[in-house]
Amino acid sequence: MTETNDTKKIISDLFHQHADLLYNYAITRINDLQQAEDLVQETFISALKNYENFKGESKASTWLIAILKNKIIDIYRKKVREFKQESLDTLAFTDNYFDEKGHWKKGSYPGPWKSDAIDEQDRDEFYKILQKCLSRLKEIQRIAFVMKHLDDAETEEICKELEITASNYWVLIHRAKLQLRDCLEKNWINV
Amino acid sequence: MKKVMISCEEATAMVVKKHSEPLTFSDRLRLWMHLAICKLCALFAKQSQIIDEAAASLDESIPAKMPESARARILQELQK
Repeated sequence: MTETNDTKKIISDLFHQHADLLYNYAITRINDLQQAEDLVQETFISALKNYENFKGESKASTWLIAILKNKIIDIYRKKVREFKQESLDTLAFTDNYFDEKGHWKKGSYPGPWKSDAIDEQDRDEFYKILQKCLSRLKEIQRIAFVMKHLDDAETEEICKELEITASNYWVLIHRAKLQLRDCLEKNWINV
Repeated sequence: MKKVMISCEEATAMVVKKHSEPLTFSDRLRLWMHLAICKLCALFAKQSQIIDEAAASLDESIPAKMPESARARILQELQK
């Protein structure tokens, strides 16, 4: 390695500035604090090795997030591959909120929430519970949901990255949403 | 010929899909009819939107601090 002391100093400074930003980004997407820390470490080590590729055309934080994001996608891909196709196909029938006719089962009825929108004072609490509920999803559902809703990726892109079919994807997202809604309702104490 | 009345399971799947891509005209119509008479699915649709909006801004929402031990370890790695 030939990183100069100057580069080390720059990257260390960037670490001081952006460590929490990257850490937050990682823990929201990876359900494992230790792994999140490791990813942040790997990100800065990559940054150190590839500093000459950083032209300063984007903000340093954007560049670092892009490195981290790639590492996260690699992990997602691996996890989804480990998940067998047959398990993907049976996901549609687990945690079923509907009876055989497709009506809501008694006991799974959605109930009204405190309000139709989340107001300022409830916001932090709501986010915390959302985070917790996300972490309770099956890993593969969480991955699909995160790519869709946090990273705003297109359906096609997600299917390609994760090597799943569009119909698998829609089942994952549908089930993830049903479970999140249910979990939020049960845990949002202020209701 | 597709059936006119869809189930709650189908309706909620359409609600979720609608956030990502436009539904066909006939699906839109069938969903609209279902939501007009099914309070449970209408509630689901509303809450689904709340969840999506919150998820989109989740990154800015919960500022967690990286543990000191991890910070120290990583800084040390960066000096190697």
